[in-house]
Amino acid sequence: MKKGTDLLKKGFAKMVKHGVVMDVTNVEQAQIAEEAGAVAVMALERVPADIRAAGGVARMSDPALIEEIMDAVSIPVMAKCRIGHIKEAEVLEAIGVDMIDESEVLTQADPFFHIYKKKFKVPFVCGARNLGEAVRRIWEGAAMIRTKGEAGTGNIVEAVRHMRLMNEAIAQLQRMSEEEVYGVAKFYANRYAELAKTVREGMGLPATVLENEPIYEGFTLAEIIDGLYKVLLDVKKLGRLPVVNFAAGGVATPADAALMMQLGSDGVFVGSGIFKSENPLERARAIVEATYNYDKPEVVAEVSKNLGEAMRGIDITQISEAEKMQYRGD
Amino acid sequence: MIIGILAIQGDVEEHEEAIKKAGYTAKKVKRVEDLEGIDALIIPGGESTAIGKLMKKYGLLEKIKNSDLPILGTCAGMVLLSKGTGLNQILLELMDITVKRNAYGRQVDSFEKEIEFKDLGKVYGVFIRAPVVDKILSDDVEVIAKDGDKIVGVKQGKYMALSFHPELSEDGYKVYKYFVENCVKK
Repeated sequence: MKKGTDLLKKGFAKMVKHGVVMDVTNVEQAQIAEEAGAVAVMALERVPADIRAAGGVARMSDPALIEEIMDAVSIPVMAKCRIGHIKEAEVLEAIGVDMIDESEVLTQADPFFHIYKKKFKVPFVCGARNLGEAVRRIWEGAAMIRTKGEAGTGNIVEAVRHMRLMNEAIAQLQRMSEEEVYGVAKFYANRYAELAKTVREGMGLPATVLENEPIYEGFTLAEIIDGLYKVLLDVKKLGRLPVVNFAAGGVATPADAALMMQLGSDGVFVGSGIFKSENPLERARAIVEATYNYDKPEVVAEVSKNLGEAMRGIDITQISEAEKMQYRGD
Repeated sequence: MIIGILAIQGDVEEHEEAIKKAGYTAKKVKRVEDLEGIDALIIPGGESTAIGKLMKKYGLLEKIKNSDLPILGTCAGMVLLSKGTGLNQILLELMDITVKRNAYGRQVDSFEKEIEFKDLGKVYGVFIRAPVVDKILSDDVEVIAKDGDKIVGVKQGKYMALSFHPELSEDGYKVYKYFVENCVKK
């Protein structure tokens, strides 16, 4: 019997396709999400809008809260760890969450690296702003990708930006020769050499990395390039990411969810959009129905009626670059 | 042979691929009108609570229940074909079984292994937060697959329910063929 395999981790992500994953901060909200037809909940102490407002360091949630939510619903429960925080991830795996979101919504823990997710039995979802981030996360073992968008803003523009960037990159990749694709892999791999380069510079040495020296989790740059190249060839062949790809970061209305499905998302994460709105149950239900009926504008219209006020939202240009969560971890 | 796949939520595309691999034509069934022209229906893996709610709201529950379509349910599909789960959820109630959801535990307890399948011998089983049959409520239900003492595959007339995901394994096409030979053609 085999557990924790790639097939099982990617398979879990496939089971939530075409569905809506909702952020919840307590048992009551988790039950509302389940009642509304969520395919999973993301258990956390504060939704992104409140994390943004609170400032300070945002960390993994209290395991007791996550366990309470796991006990209260029959649908899968996900939880977030900080980018690169291997120990938070191990804690979440130990309490048995169904999927870990290595998330930019929390404060970054490792300035150089993301978690090497292939070492875990639990599946991971990771945010990505573009194809490069997505391919790096998939090579590291992410079973699922989501756009980063800009969490806690109720503003869809960044999620659209990230999905469009990814779709266009995939289209361009399909027109490339294998040699050109290999060049892309080499470029994408540079990110893993930053630590080694920084250290060499600090020693007064040229900032170059030898292809055969280990730079991340025992892998040499050459091995990483090779790994990324394989993922890119998969993307080229399939014309899409080889894992489930959701939209996240700014979904606030049924039409937002439908828009992201139209752009090719396999499903939708809704963070602050539901429980920061006037009428969470009705809005949650409407977002589920709009995700299913994204190709039927008349249904999206019907479910969008009389939902009360959506979350207030923030204009992206009003957030300083330093406050943007999407730049955490590339 | 046109096999429909209930396309509300879950791993619809994986079933589509597997059906083609088994040599049949696949058709996504998103709405009531898509039921037209199909010879059988597959209810895929996904979240049974979410699928059940949307099936009911969009008229698919009644329509499918009152059709004489052969149906294969995998994982969430098994749950939806059953008469009860012990939880308050919307079901098709077409098979005389009750199921226990997440019977093996959470995702970290998901597993893959070979299991014994009637007439097919060994079949590769991919179990993801899988349900198992809890009680068999009538003699019309035949056990077709077991994992140790757990019942992971049952057949009742034109209906078949599996705990695992043939759509995710290399040899899954054998299971589709079994379904077509034993539930659709008979």
